[in-house]
Amino acid sequence: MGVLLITPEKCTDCRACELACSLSHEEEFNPARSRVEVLAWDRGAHSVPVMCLQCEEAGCMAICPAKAITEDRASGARLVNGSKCIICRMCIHICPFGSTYYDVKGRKILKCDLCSGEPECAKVCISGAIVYGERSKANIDKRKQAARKVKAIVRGAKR
Amino acid sequence: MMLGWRGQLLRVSLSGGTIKKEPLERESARAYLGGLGLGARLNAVEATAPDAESNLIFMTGPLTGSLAPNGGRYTLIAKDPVGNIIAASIAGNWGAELKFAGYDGLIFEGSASELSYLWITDGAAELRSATHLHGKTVAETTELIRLETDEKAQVSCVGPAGENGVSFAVVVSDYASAAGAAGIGALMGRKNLKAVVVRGTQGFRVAQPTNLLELSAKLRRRVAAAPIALQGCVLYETVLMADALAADDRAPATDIARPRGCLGCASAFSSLVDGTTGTQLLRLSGEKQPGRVGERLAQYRRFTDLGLDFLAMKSVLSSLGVKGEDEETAVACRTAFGDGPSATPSQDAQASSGRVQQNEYAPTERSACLVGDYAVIPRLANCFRCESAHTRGGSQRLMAALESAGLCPFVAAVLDAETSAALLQATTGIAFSPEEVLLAGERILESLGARGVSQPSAAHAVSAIRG
Repeated sequence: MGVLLITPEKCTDCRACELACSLSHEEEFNPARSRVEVLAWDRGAHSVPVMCLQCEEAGCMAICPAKAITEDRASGARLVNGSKCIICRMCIHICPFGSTYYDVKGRKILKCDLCSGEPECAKVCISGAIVYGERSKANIDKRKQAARKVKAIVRGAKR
Repeated sequence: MMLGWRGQLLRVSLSGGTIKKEPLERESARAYLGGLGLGARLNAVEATAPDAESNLIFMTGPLTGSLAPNGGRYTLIAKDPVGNIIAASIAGNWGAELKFAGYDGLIFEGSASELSYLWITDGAAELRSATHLHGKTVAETTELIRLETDEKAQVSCVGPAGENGVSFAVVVSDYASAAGAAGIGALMGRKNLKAVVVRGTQGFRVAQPTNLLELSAKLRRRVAAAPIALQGCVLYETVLMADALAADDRAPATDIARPRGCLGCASAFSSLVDGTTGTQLLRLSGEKQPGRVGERLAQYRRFTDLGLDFLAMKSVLSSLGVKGEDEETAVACRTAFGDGPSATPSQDAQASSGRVQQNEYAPTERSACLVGDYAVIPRLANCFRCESAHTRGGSQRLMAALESAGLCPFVAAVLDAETSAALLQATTGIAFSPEEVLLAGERILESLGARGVSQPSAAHAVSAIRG
């Protein structure tokens, strides 16, 4: 079971994740139908890929009146079952990240499904802003970085 | 239905105010791919009266907006008064957005009675008055237009320099990506066309999605790993360029060092990074960075915002002997607003930002675009010189073909004709062979009036600089 780890400061705003996502799910290049969106501001000086974070206590799952959103134990993703979904859009209202979308063209709910454990967005993200890894290991670099800071502080204090 | 291409063009008569959809001919698309080649072809076959104003064509390629590495490119094509094709390619979000909206390209005829902009949204298009944008800079124009159209709209526009017919005016999209060749910005201004604004949510389909996804992921890694012509040093006399800092695992020291990329870019070339310190020097917000290079890049930003070709403007300033930042900015402003000194850039600047050249080595018609002229391509051209005589033609042809297909031409240093053919095939479903790709490149070079290259097929033409 893995997790998508986002490192916004590495994002180059190239939007390859959006292209890969829409191609693999909808068989077309169309950022408007991508489950991940790169948001940029300050005239593009900063950008962040935004997508479903597969909340443990997922509001969308809890609120869905049709019980159409369920956990996929293998990948850890919260999946929308299209045949059960009544497209009431409650999941869109409740998502704190705005990461469930209504697809006007396909008339359905769009939500990251972790591509059955092999997310295409992470595969094409060469800058490393989107990384998919084991839950226990995915943020090991961040922990190491934090540990190095602590180490430096401790050393400084000794001096 | 065409795959890869949208199969549809939009013909806008600015004089008549009419907008008409037109099919893209399958055969010419196959022969000339798109962008540069198709635009030059379209412009060449359209019979216009000798003294009539040239059409202005915006053209994407089948790989524009696809996942193919560095596939954010589109080209502006026109004829100069003597009838030569002039073209400038430019990268960023605009070209892809046009395809998402349903069109491969736009043809602008005549000129509007008042300053206007074209607003395209998912197949619908309308000409709107832009008189309230008169004299506005690129950034102001982009932001004002987004307020009255769509906050996600992509804007390609001219600054005051284009409106006032400055001979080295550029067309700018994504705030800082500039296309300039022999006054293509001035032509757009003369047509009273301030901007072309696009928002598309329709997307486009390709022939083999799974193959393309796999191939693109592989090639993107290859391009990111390649030291394409860049050693991470910023050239003082030109602007740019950065090493592919994106591929670097070392965490940037500060948030300043964020690399930026055009749409689909695997190299993050549009970041402006100091090679020695790895510090990004030009924030798109225009914030000033320290040091001489920082000053220079801030100046690039200011000149581009006015719609001026940076290199050409610098040349004018130096020939006038203007010194000092304030004085230079003042002269640039006066130039852009049309009451400056008789602004004629020197031969050098015209050569580099200028028209199609017959020079055997100088890559033709790729002028003052952010990637194209300033640093990358001249360096790449130097690399090409190292190649043996029988392979040189191949790389030129491959570059022309890739640029027309919608990729940054310099990925020719990483992709060979085989992979390019595979990309085109997965996208369009047409069985392109490597020879056909090179043949298309040759056709494109010929249609530009450049010297035809008649060497035998050189599939691995750029291998010399790849290793």
